[in-house]
Amino acid sequence: MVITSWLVIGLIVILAAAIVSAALGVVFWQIVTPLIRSCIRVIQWIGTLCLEIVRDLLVAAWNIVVAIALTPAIVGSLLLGRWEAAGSMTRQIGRRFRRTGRRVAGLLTKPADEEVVQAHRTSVSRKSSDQFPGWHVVGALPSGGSGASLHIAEPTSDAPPNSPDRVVIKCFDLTMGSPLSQMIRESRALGGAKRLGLVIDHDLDETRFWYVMRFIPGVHLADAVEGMHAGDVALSGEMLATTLSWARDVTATLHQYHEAGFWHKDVKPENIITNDTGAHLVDLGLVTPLQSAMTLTTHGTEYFRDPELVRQALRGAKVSEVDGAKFDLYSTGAVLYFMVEGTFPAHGNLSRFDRETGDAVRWVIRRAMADYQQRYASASELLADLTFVASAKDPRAVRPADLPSFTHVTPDMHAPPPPTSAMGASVKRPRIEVTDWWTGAYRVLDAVPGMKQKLPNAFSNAIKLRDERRAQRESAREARRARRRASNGGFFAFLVGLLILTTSGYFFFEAISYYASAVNPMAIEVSHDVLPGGEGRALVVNDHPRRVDSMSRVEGQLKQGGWECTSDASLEATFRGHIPFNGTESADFPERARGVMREHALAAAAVISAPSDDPNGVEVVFVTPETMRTYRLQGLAAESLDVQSSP
Amino acid sequence: MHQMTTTFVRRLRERDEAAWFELWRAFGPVLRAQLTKWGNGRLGQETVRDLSQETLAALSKSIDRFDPSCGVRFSTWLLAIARHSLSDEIDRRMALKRGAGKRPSHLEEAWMGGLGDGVDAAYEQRIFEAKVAAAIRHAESDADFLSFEIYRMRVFDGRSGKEVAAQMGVSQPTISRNLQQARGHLRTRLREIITTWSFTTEEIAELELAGLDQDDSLFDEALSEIWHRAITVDDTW
Repeated sequence: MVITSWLVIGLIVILAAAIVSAALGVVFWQIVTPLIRSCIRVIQWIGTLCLEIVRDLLVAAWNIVVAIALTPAIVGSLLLGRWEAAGSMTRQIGRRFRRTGRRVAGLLTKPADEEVVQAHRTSVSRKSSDQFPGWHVVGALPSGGSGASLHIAEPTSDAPPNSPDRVVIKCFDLTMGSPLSQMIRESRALGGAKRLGLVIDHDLDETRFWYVMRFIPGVHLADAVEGMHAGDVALSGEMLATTLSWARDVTATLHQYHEAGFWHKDVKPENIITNDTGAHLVDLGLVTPLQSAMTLTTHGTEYFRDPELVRQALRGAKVSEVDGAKFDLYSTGAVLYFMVEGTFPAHGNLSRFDRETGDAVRWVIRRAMADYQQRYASASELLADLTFVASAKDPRAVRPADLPSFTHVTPDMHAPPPPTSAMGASVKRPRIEVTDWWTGAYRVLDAVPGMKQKLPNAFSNAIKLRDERRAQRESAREARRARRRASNGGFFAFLVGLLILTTSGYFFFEAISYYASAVNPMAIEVSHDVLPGGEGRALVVNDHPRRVDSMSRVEGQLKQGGWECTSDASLEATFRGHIPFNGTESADFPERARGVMREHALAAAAVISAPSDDPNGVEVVFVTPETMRTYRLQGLAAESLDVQSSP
Repeated sequence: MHQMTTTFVRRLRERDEAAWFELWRAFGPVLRAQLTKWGNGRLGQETVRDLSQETLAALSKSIDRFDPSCGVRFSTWLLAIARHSLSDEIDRRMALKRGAGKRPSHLEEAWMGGLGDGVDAAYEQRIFEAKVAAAIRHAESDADFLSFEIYRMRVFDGRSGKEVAAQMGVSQPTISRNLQQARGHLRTRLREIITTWSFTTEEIAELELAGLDQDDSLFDEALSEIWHRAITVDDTW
């Protein structure tokens, strides 16, 4: 029975302990942890703020130094009559001063971050422009010609699910000068881009319109091609294969667009990003439904825009009346020309080829840029030709006659290279049937002999898969590095904030104590010296509870100092009547005492009392019209035998 | 003057955008090349482009005053307008530089080196080449793609018939037939374009002088030579 009751008690105790522990845990987790986290964030914010202030001040100082340094040059230019140069430098100084002003103003509002992320002007520093719900801006990209700002951002907890690690936000802001017409155009294109899965998020309000796209790291095709043609030499076989694979990637993307019922309308080298994973088409600003009822516009880029598009737009044609996909094909051909020749096709389809690229590549380019009616009928046709040439061992050896569009055979897109080594006169030509002997029209009866059945290339797929995984790992690594950098920065800011808080707290309390002692008019100085000297009548009041002769000794010191002492009873009674109930320690005592002194022409008043910690000493509160001090006269009453009978 | 010429001028006067676009497409590169030459290295690419557009805008304003029957070449008139556009630009620059509205254009005629009071032969040559290039573009649209490509490879690229046949996977007689077809389109279009954009008898005679009314081999040779010169216009600036 006893054991059972002990067991029950034990269980109850354990249960109670568990409940209490859980409650404590919940309290700690729900209240204490957030509190600590908030404190840490506040300290971090203080540290960050101080660091930014220091940085802004340094930049402001540097701007001023530059402005001062340029002043002699301006004066010199004015003396030499170089007005434009002087004006230019003056404007530069003006810009720097405006920038300095913004930075100084930023000390009170928000630090100006322009020039930190990019040298060009960016709206990252503007609170209204760089805040996108669900996204945290981490950088900026150079703005294009659309008037929008481009931000690099990372998703926060409010971002849509399955968002990529890094995105690009294109933001139109009317307050920043973005054109309304462009905003409307891009908002129209947004629907199509969303259907294509190219837009992750978007928002539109009275002044702003922004949308989120996947961030594709890499270099622009224009820069990549410039590097390829740097030595003004013909492309190597490897480079030619690379350019063809890029063209194939772009065409495959366009094929997806067209299949979904849209066309890109602005295919050009600046809108293509290349990296290890291939070429990627970006900028969705002009994406248009193929069946749109809108009137065709001439938007696009010269040399990469089909002249037929301009002609039809000038005619006032509707988008649905033309095949927009063919305009994309022309641009793709122009881009491929740019890649293999290193320059833009200044004469359209008549542009000359100076580099040795092979007849098949030239054929593909000319067919893509041919007259509207004679062009490739669809992106899939162009894609088939490009795939065929790109997968060849030697693209330069491929004949136009071997191309799928020529033979009207649709190849397998994942086909192995054709037998280009057997090209030439020894290869058996396809059988054709002449349909019109007069004009020479004919049709091909069979495919090119020697073109084998295409088999999936497992090795290529494995390499592609490996490259994709490598790219993913690299991307994840980069994200981790970015997080680590942010974490280190936060820790540093925390340390700085803590240091600033500690230091400022110390100085704050020091200042408080100093202020209390220095500024308070009621403060009393304690002196261990003799009583001060002076002139005039001084009233002496004895409040010492035990010593009677201490009064005469104090009077002796005062007289020695030049005072004329008085202990008139009526005067003492009047004085005592004005002393507050809590004695000389009252805040009202000095004023009351000075009132009595003024009425009775007294120059000073001394109130004698006994110190609590010194039985042989005397404490004298000495009041003058200007000051009030307490003097501790040690040992003054040590030898006194004149004991008061009552206080 | 041929009826096609007057019809084209009428289309320009009626602000037919297609006609203006054709004009711009044909003579834009020539204008840019000429402006670049006058600029003598002082005009940037963007400025040249702006000036050529200003020239076209000025042309559209004054097209109603142009009288095709007075025997002046359209190209000469175009050049005069371009020259005024350039002169205005120089005046504006000088005024900005000197901080006053003084017009010193007479001092700056040296900028337009090679022009003098007349029109240089190179410019007229480029105008003619631009017309030929326009005709080739039209012929390319008219002809079958394969035919024109065969013509291009055979004539413009100077490949042999056998080589072209091997590349195209067809016989040499087929190559010949396609060549003939493309050549026919080219001859038709050349006559049409040259007639449309010629305002004097000398301009019409240029076709003959250039050897473009000869037999096939001479025609091909002359056309290839003109074509190669025409497509290098942009390379000069």
